[in-house]
Amino acid sequence: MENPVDISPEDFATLCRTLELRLSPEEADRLRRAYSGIKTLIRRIPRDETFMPEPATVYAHPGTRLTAS
Amino acid sequence: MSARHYLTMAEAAHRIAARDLSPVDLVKSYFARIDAIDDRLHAYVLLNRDAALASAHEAEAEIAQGKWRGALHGLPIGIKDIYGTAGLRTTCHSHLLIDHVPKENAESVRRLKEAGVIVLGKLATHEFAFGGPSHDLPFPAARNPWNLDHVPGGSSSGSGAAIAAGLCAGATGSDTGGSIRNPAGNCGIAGIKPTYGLVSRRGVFPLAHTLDTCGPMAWTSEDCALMLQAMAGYDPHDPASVDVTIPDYHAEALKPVRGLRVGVVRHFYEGRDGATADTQRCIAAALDVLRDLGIAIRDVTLPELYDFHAAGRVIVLSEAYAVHRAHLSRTPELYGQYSRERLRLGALLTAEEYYQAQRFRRVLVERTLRAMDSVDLLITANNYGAAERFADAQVFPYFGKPYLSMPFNLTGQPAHAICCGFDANGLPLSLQIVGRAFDDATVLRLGHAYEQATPWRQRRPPI
Repeated sequence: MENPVDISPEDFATLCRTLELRLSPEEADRLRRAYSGIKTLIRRIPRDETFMPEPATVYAHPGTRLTAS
Repeated sequence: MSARHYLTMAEAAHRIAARDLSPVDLVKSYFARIDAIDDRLHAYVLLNRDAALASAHEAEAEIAQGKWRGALHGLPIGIKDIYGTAGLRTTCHSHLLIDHVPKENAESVRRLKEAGVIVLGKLATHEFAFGGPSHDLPFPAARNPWNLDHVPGGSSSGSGAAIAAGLCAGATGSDTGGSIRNPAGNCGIAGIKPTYGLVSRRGVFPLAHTLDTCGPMAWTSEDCALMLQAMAGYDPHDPASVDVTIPDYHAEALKPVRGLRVGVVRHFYEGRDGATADTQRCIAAALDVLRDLGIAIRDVTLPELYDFHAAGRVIVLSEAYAVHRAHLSRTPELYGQYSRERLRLGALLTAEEYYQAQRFRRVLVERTLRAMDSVDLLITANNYGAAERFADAQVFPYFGKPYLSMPFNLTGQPAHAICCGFDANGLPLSLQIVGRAFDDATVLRLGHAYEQATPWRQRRPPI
């Protein structure tokens, strides 16, 4: 199992204040654990750092119209 | 002969056209069934009784005058309560929109009504197609008619429950990460997420714009074809809508399947962390049935399910938060707990993460389409097993097993859930049939052939 992304309750409280999220202590605890989960999951997404990427694979918006087969 | 409320849409249409069945009697049968059991099932949040009966009388008169509009004329359906309905409350199952009455029908509702359907009422959903099954919403959560202690799935929860229990002939659903296919599987019915861009979303409350798809749910694949015929078609007012020729889905669904090539995506559901033993057994048996029908079957490999899951989850959370941010900030108390907490998770994602997820999505799409080079269709599991109990529902269900349905929201391909048997407790199990973009007809054809070759459509829930 991959090490999960962690954030301390204090740092998480600061982040939530910045984002103006008003949370009860229970909500904050659940959301902090979910934050850890989603940030760990995001590690699976390779970050494209190509300065001049292929337009077809990088800039094509997935909501654009599909081509009929 | 089946009770009227258990007729398929195709059967009822045939009898209505032959004037052997009255739309008025049919509508009355459904309301009698709703009155008898929906206080336990909670599939409907609003009934449209007077208008439905008036529409049924109109349909009957038109048909008597020889003005039969087609297979949907006089057939009673339910509408998921995120679809706007003119003059009929559309709440999204939320306190936030509890008094919202749209002036216009959603485009797909307009098309269905033009084809002659009768709207029995509005069906329960997870709040805004996102937060459920919640305990603090204005209406109770819909229950699974196969066992009331179990969830019907979501977010099109009322649609799945109502069709299985004979409370409507068909229903609309919407699918952003599996919200048609999950309840279709849990309730033992059929439901297709059409190709992204085939059915207009105009007038349907959005969840995640680059994934949202509207589609039909019904007892059989044939009935889904009848509904899709009316719902599909270009809408210049939906930016994702595509102007393609719409085939005769019903005629296509009835064609032979011999010679079709199916790729099985086993690595999504086999192995220790995969689907339940019952689900794996039922899919293996289904593949044997398909071989007997003359279908060539081989294994194919797609990208890892977790890759689809990661990209899809970031996209849904980010886009849904963008839709709800203002109201979530001003009136969080008007959301149910599940919606409120799930939506806030989207606030914690960055623009870069969203962008990289969309870029990665494109890579996954290309790899998936390449894997389909030598097959016409894919088959994989739809759910890991039977419906979970209400007691096991979680606020954040995202960090366990990845959703089996999400890959085909990301790719935009048509994906169809059908019943493929039952577990030891009598709960339905399901598989997915996936096609190429805009080849929804072949997906429905395989679903129909399989349903004809197996006994599962003869079994209804015990409620």
